[in-house]
Amino acid sequence: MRGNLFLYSFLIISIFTTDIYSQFYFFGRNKVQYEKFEWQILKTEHFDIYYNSEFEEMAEIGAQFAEAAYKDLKVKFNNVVTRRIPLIFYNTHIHFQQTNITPGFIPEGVGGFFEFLKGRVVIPYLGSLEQFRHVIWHELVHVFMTNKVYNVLKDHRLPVDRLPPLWFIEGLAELWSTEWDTQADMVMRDVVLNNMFVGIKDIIKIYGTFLMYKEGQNFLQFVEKEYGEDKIILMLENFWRFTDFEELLEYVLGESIDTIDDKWAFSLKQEYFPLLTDNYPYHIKGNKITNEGYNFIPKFYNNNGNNEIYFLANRTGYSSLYKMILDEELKNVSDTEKLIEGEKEEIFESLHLFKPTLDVSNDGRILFASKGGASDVIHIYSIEDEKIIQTLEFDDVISIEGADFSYDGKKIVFSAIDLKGYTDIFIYDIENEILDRVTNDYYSDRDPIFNKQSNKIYFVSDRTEGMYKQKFNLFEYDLERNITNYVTYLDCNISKPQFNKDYSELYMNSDYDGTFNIWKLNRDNNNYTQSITQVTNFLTSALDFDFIDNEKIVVSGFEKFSFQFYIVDLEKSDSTIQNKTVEFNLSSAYNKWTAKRISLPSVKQKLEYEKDYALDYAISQVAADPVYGARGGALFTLSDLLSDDKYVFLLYNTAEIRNDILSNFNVALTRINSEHRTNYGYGIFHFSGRRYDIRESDEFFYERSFGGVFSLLYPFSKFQRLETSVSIANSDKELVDGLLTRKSLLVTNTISFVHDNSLWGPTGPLDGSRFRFLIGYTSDIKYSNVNYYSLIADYRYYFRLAFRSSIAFRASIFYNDGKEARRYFAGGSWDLRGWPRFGIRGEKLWLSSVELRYPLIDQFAIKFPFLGVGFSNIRGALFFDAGNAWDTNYGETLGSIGTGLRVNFLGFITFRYDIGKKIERNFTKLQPKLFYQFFFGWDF
Amino acid sequence: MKRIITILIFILIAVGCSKSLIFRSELINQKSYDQFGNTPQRNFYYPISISDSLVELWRTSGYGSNTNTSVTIYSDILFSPELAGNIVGFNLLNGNEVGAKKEKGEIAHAVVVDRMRIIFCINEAKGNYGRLFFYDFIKGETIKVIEVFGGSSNELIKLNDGIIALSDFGEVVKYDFLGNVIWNTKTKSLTLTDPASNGNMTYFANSKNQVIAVYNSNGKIVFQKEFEHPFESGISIFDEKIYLADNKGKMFCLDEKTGEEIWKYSSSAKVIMTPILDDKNIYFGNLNGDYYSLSKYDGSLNWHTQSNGMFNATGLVFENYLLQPDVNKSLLIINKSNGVIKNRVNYEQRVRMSPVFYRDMIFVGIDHGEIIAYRPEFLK
Repeated sequence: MRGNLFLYSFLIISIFTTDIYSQFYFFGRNKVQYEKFEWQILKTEHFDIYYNSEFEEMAEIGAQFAEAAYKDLKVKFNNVVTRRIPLIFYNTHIHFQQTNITPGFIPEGVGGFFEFLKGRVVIPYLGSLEQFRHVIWHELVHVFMTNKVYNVLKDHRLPVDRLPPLWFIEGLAELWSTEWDTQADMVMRDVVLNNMFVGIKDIIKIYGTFLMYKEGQNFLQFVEKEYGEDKIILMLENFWRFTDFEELLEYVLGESIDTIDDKWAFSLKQEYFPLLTDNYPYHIKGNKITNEGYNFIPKFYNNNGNNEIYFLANRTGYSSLYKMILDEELKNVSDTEKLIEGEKEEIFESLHLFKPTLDVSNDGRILFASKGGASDVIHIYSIEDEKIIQTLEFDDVISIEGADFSYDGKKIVFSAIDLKGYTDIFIYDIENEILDRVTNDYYSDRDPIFNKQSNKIYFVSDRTEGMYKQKFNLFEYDLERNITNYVTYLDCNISKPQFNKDYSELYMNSDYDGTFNIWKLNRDNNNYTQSITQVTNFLTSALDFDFIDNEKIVVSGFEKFSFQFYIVDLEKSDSTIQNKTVEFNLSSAYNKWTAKRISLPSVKQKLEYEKDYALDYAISQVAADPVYGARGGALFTLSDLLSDDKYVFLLYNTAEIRNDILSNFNVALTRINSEHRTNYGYGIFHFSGRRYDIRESDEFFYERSFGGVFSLLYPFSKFQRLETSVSIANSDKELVDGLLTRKSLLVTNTISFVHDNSLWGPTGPLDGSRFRFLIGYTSDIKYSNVNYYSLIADYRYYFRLAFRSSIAFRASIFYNDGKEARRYFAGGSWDLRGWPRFGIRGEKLWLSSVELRYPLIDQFAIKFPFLGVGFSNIRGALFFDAGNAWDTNYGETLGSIGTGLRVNFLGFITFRYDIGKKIERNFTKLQPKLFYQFFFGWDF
Repeated sequence: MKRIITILIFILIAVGCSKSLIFRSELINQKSYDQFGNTPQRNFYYPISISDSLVELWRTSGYGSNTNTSVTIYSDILFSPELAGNIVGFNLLNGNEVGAKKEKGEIAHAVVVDRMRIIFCINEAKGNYGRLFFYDFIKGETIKVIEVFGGSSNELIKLNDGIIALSDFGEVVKYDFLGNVIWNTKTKSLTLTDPASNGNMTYFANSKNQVIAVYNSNGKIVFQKEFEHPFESGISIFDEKIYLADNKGKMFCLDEKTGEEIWKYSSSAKVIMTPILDDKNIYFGNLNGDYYSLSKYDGSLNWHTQSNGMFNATGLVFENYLLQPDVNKSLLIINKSNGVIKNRVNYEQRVRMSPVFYRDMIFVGIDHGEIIAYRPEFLK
């Protein structure tokens, strides 16, 4: 439902981007290719649509959306995109997360993306056709906008390397892809009424957040209303004039940015302040019982007199299942306990915070859903036994959202997305282990609940036809007669139907008054009448609620950009709304709408047979070095349309004199295939040139090596993998220039096990653990000049102290032993701090560190008259390091102790500054002077 | 004497080097296609019949792209205005470049040719103004530069006694051919229409939904009619009526004296091009790729056709066919009587400029400043 799109998109920045940071060599999580996709191509007038075979019907509907968007957007932009646009559809977000088109992890909040390098649009089906339409249009606005900007700049013979600011890009994509809806309004209400609104001048403060999307959309809507519809396209057509977007705004709108911001702020106040007359914030009408993190789907359970609430939350950054115990008056929380911590092992890879599934049966069993590998599963947890007693996995069901126990606890009804992309209702008989499918069509059927007798299911669906086409209304499915009937027929969206404790009344969420509030379906004796009555009048949306008794509810409400729980007494609700009843007429509600689709003969060929490789990027550099003279090189990568198969080509030359040019070519060609769960790569290389000898400082030797490499990577889960590689290389070394040479034919085998479930903060890991265990053997199979084995064990553990503080531990050993074994090195800001960078060398090395990581300064800004500079998330560290390296005889143990600052700069680099004292002589002496060290790099 | 001759030669060489004498002096007083639409009324009608195929004569390219305007021509020289601030002169017969005037900024309309001068407005990148140049291309000398508040993306009008420039901020200014201001009238509205004139009055429309007429003699406003939606299309005048379309795609026929609506017709999307007419009908396309033929007397639909692209440049009307650029990389040859697309000339790039028919040749502009000259086969 629409509400979920908001939820889905909400924390793009706040939580999940931490996954992306963790993707770097040595550790890192895995993008597991669980599926063997069988791609088909649907070619329409303007699009090449790639989809998996089961998704054909939805792909044809999506094709119709795309062509309609093209038709609309070419007019809006006064621009045609003359190339064919590749659209890649996935049937669920879970499959979408497996795409290789972007190398990083895709957070659950991302509903699709436009990739600039090859102009690909990648879109998952999120469970409703309206969302599907919205995302297709949204991404195509990006396609048209970037194409328009490109043309405008190129027409004016200007570099095509810039785009409008993100708020404009995303705001425009929202404006021209969807209506101003309940979620958008909720967000703007919240920020305006709670003084959190920022104008365009300061919009950098909310950069990348969902709020920025919605403020951008709202601002452009304001521009259309206040200054004229034509102004937006004028901004793009005049984009060539200014590099500063504020100047462009002032030029097009004819007013200063301060005036524009003032007018916008005033219009918002005019719109939202009157709401205060009849509506209330949660903290006025309810008793707030949570303060930390984001909290969802509260379920009340009376456990032998204890008031217990079970819920999902992300209080530590990981989505987890919690239990909270309230006192008798339901005012204070006496205890909170984490029952299941998600995102640390495969079976709880994600608890889908923003599409949560949770229910508690009358006999004390909790059901919740999680992503467990390739698809979602349902777990049943016994409150009494404090453990999971059953895990249910279903064929062809990929995503699960929203489930309910029957009154007797013998059945579960839930909503799920299947391979075709259908969001339908299923019933599972726990005792008999039978799964029944209730609906089977492309309408989005959600939030199902049983009635008390378990002979009917109530659910919401967008199958509404007629005046309120595609609105989510409440439906009833009679399990005895197998028929579906309308229960409501309203011009609004309904979600989360819920019976009260004694099943006497049916409540629901409805956005009839502009935001999601709780309403009640009226009844006359035993029959529901055709009307609903408003029960709450909160200013911002209520997401989930549960009955404590027939009068009191616990509700998850959105306020001050946070999701918290409130206890609300419905008996004390405002008298003005108790009479707010909306009637509807079911006699005009019948049938269901049908979606238009484009049915064309598909090009039914697997993509692997027609892989079309195109350049991803190419970089080259020529440099003049005062010591080595001119040198240059280039790197190219090619990949197929789905980026499953990549070729990386590296070429550079290190010749110092002309005669050496031919012999000093360095070439490497590698193929990396990540199409299936087992990833593989192979390649050939030729490297030659002078090398710095890490065995003997300040000396160089000449080495020429050529050969090949093959590697395999098998992910067990997102968190663990096995890596193995074998390489063969002919290596010729000149140890003493022209006099002493060493020839070898090296064969190296390695096998590693890697684990990583760490959770990252702005400068490094804060929680979880990481380790790599590697064994390897290197041997000269021809001359026996080289022969050694390798062992690496590197373990890091992060113990969380508070939400943003932790203690990090590291224990590592790197061990090479044998003839001409390679050396390891340490020293510098990344390991043995204070000691010279790479200054500690040896075939064996051990390291250990303990570091306290804590927030120091949240925001720091300097405002000059002409510009301002701001830093956020400046973090502090107290550290202690120990270790050393040696070849044959162990020397002294070295160490250091100190403190430091870390600053993340623009999200991709961390600067570090450390002060401390080195410890020497086997930990018997602190060096007299302090060391000061500045460098870059993530925390270990 | 020897010294004097040496000094004279030195001076001649020095003077010669300091000026870009880009064109030959024998070009004075030649025929021309001297403004967008050739006349102040914007006439794109040629009462001759052509075949449905075109023979390419030459192909050339300048330095950057053009907008939806057209080339203008003086004698054998074809002037191509580029968005990157260049005016490039090409030989009409072979497409060879004969000179270029390069300025910083943007030229978004056709160059007006007045004998040995060209007149054009350069929109400055930063700042709300443009510079109107009066440039002698024989001498390679700028005669006058006048600041235009708001810049001008709109086509200039060349009258018998001067030039009318309409700024993007709605200021109408009449200049004589030496660049002296005769009058100016401020309407203070964003104005992105290509104006037209019947010789007595100039007509334009703006983003405040207004159609305005001013006297060419003194700049006084004759009428200022309010409509429902903003306007960005070009304006054509034919038989004492003016034709223009609004941003919702509604085509209007108005009385040129009063601005009263005679008829209107709703098309499917925004119209930017200038409507083109012959003695019976009006033809126009919109951004949705729909193309229409209406009776110019009552606005009734003769036919409608669809292209998969969009129309934002103005076409040509011949006796039998319409020649209509489609941005989506093609030039359509449409049967005027029934709307059937008889032929489609395809290109690798977008078609940008409005074609020009001159001396039995057709000049078409596509992306990156590329201009292609065709010769149609004429039918008797």
